[in-house]
Amino acid sequence: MSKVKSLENRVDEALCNEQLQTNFRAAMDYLIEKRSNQFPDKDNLNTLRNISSSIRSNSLSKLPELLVKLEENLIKNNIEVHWAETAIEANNIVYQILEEANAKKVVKGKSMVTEEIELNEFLESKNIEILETDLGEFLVQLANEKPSHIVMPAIHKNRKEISRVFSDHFPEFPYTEDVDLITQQVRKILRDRFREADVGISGVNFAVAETGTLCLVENEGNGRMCTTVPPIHIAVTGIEKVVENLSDVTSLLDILTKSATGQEITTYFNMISSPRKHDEKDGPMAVHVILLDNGRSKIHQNTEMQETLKCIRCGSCINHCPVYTQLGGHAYGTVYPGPIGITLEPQQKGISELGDLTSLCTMCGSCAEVCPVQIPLPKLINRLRSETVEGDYMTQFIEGVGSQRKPIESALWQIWKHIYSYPSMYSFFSKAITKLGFLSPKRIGGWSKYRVIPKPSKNSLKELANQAGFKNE
Amino acid sequence: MNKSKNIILERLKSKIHDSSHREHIPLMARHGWTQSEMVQMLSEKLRLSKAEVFVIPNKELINWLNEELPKRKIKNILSGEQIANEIAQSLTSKTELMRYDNSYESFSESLFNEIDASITKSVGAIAETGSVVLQPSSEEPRLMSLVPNTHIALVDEKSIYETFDHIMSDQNWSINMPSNTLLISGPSKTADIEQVLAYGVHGPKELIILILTS
Repeated sequence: MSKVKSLENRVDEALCNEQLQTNFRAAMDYLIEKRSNQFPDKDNLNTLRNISSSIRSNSLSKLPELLVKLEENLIKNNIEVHWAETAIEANNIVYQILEEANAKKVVKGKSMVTEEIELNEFLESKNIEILETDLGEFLVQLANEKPSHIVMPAIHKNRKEISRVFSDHFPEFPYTEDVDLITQQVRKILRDRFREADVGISGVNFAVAETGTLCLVENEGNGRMCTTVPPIHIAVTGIEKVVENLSDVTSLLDILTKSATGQEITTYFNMISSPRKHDEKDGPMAVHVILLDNGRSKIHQNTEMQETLKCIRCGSCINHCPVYTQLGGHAYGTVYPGPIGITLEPQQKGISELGDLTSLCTMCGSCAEVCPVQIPLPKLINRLRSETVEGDYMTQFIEGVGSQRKPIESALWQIWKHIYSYPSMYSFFSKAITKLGFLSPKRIGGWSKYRVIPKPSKNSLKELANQAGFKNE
Repeated sequence: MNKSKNIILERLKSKIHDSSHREHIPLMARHGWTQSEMVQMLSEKLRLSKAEVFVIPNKELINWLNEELPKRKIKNILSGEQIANEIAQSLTSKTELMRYDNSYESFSESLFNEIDASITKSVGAIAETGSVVLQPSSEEPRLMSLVPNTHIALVDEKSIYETFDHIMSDQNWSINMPSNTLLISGPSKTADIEQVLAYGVHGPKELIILILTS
């Protein structure tokens, strides 16, 4: 119950924050327009979506064998492979690698999967210094906050707020609201940190089974720094990120950057297939890959919900979601916000904890329309919604199925069902409601908090039609 | 560790999936662009991403360097052995030629704090997206194209491919991927603050592409 309340409170807070809504509306409009400019031809877009969707479906249908092949080829390339079933296990593996290397300082490239396992918090509790290096993530970390968007982490902050946070932490730099100057100051600060770091941690965009290659997409170059400068590179990836062939990455890269930030391609596409070889002069001495499950194999077992795992984390469903645009990312209280968040998170963490998230959807369908890999998000959300209140065959896949059922709500729907099943009952009730309309309540729980309660008309539609001269037409 | 691997794989295998839904994905058809069309497209796309592009005859390279580097206040330039051998004799005394001839650990201080620019070769370029493709090696290590403020990349006009698909398949990448392969499509940039584009966050502030004609 307290969880439900806290979601409501967060939503309340977000809805009362006009500045937040202005920031998000502006940012989403910008991203929507940039994406749309990249797809002038709808037929080409659909072809690309078909191809991308089929590449991802292929990965999922052969997932166990592709993971084994990926591991084989990574090992052949002298990359060490670790398997983690849970977040805790993944964190422990990272810590073990750090301990063995006596590493104290870590730099990190932007990665949602490490947010998911709360790696920063874990390592900090072990007295490891872990520094985010993507500009947005760096600023969010300084502000002691969480990213509010999976691609643009600092999207909720305007430049004034950013300038204040920055100057609080780095008083040695003159205060400025000039974006170029802030960027140059961050460059200066972080360059030394890259050099001093013992370990660099990154996520993975695509892991190629055929060649044992890790692909990373970025614009800033911090990802390349983290994966090249420190003596050890640890890449953490969800098991679903594997693709079968090297040739699969071209279409996925194309649709990912266009959908995410409306770029034809990002500044860097970094394909890592080996640590430093004996005759090479730079690059990490060791590369580790952690293949993280954290609920994914369970989702994979469920044919209907499996499509959740096709996601390539472009954030385009989020950018087009009217609920997200109103609330921003933090109101969700989860790592992944927006349509993909409310689909993925309740499956990972269970319906008892996060089932109420599924109500953050208007079923408008925009997310499915833009999803580059054609995940039928509204269908999946609707399915989860019904699982929150009625136990079905999904019990074996998701924790807490049916746990959000409320006796009064289900009784009301039962009555509703009966009224609509019998014409005489229907006629009786429609008369009763129109005649007794003055008795209708002034408040109906949370629903009337932001809306005016409509009053029933004095006459039913049928009566009005009869008066107008229609006779059972 | 192996325990987790087994649990994960067992769970994944427990569901029999229909594995037939992969459509055959044909290689994107060639557009049939001519070399000069590709040079033009590559240049346009790169310039849109704020890179500078110059199309110059191969033998003019040294003149370009001697003219442009001092103008840009570049006092030294880092280069691999092969390019160094080609330009060492004729490079003006205004520009010092630097070599990455030791491992990173002994070179890190100069690399981060002294070197103004680097010059590297490329294995090709992609016209469609405006990208230069690098495969760093012991001769031209990975950080050459990342740390210096200015990165100059040489592209042979004959090595421009239409698309990413084409360079990948024509050069048989899947048979033997080098340690690191990079697509570079402009100077380092970010839009993380209020969606305002800012250049030179962590990587080079300037990317200069010299397309060499024969």
